[in-house]
Amino acid sequence: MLNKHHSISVLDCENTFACRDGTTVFHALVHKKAGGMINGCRGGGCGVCKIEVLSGDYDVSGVMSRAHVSAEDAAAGTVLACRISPKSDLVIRLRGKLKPSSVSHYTGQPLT
Amino acid sequence: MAITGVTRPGHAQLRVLDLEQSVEFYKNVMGLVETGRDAQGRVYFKTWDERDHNSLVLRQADQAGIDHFAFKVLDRATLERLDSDLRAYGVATERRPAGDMLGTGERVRFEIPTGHIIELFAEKEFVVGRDRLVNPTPWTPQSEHGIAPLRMDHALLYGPDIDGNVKLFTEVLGFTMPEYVEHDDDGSKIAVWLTCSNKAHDIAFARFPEPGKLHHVSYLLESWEKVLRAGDICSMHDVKLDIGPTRHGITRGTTIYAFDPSGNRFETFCGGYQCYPDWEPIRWPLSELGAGLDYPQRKLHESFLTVVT
Ligand code: FES
Ligand SMILES: [Fe+2]
Repeated sequence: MLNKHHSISVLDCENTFACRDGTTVFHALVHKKAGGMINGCRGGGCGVCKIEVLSGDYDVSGVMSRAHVSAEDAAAGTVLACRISPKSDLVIRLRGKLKPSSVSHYTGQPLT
Repeated sequence: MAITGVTRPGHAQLRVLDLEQSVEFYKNVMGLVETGRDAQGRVYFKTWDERDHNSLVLRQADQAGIDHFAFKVLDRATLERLDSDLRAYGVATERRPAGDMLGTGERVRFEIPTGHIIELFAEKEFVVGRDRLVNPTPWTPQSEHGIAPLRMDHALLYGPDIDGNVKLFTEVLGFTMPEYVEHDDDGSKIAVWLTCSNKAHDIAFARFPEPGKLHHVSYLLESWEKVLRAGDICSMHDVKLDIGPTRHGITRGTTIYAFDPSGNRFETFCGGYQCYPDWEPIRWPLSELGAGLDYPQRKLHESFLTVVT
């Protein structure tokens, strides 16, 4: 089972990529620069990696800040990508501050 | 400047998602010394070289971030004077009794315009052996354990009304502003660096729509070599790096940003300049913020502006 890969489909950018067993979905997203994701805190604290899992199974590997994911959210599949790793192929949507078109250049406007 | 009034950063109280995992990180990766645990379950730390009982307090919570950032003032009379100055300025203050935090005297706390809680205190128990006060060695086994910073040095906090903070910190608390970033078009301030000493900053603020956010708590190291060593230690322990090793244009410090196990960003840094209160502040147009953040690469890392707890 070592090095088994699952495929993660990101609906927002119509991109599919591989995520190894035991690796967090966020790690795979950043690695592949999928959807222009940035370096988040990878500790379940900042919320930039929030996603909605539309299908597939996953393990939760750590605590997620309640500032970003409520218990109800988590039960319904809205989770922090840095705190889950896939057990099967996943279909996800990005739900964090950052969208696929996420700014690559800061325009000077206060962030909203 | 004779250091009077507000003398230095005292401690940061951080919220962590998994207490024991965080204690393990701050003890063995950051290399801090655990100095106690209180009845509420909070865990206290200091660096090997600090004399006061604590500079970091961890509290288990369901969200990450900062509870409060505290400064040590010269003495009790100063604490009373600053409390009444704050009230006269229109800031509501509250007291926390001595002993509410381990080893720590009475605290005056108040909310600042960016939504953060700032505290002032005059007394903290000295936790320092005679061997550090008489004929001390330049380093110790503890100074080589983990990253082992010299001191908790400053914090960068994000929130909406940084202009209100500048006014409060300079007019009431006696800080000066060595550097700032302003919008190219309208000259509004985007970020400010404030000092109560002759360090380039004791606290900094950046404009952000949500109040009360933590960008980072920073730890001082002795040399650029030690900053690189901190980077090695982070990598060896799978600590998530954000930016660096590099050098800030702003304050000229060499730096690494990385994240603790709850996603609270920390900095390990060295250098920067000493400044004096009569100096004109250094201005950075926002269009040059990339150089201000990461001088060699002139790169405005996106996470700098978006990732906070
Ligand atoms: S990257 Fe910060 S919560 Fe996942
Ligand atoms: Fe800093």
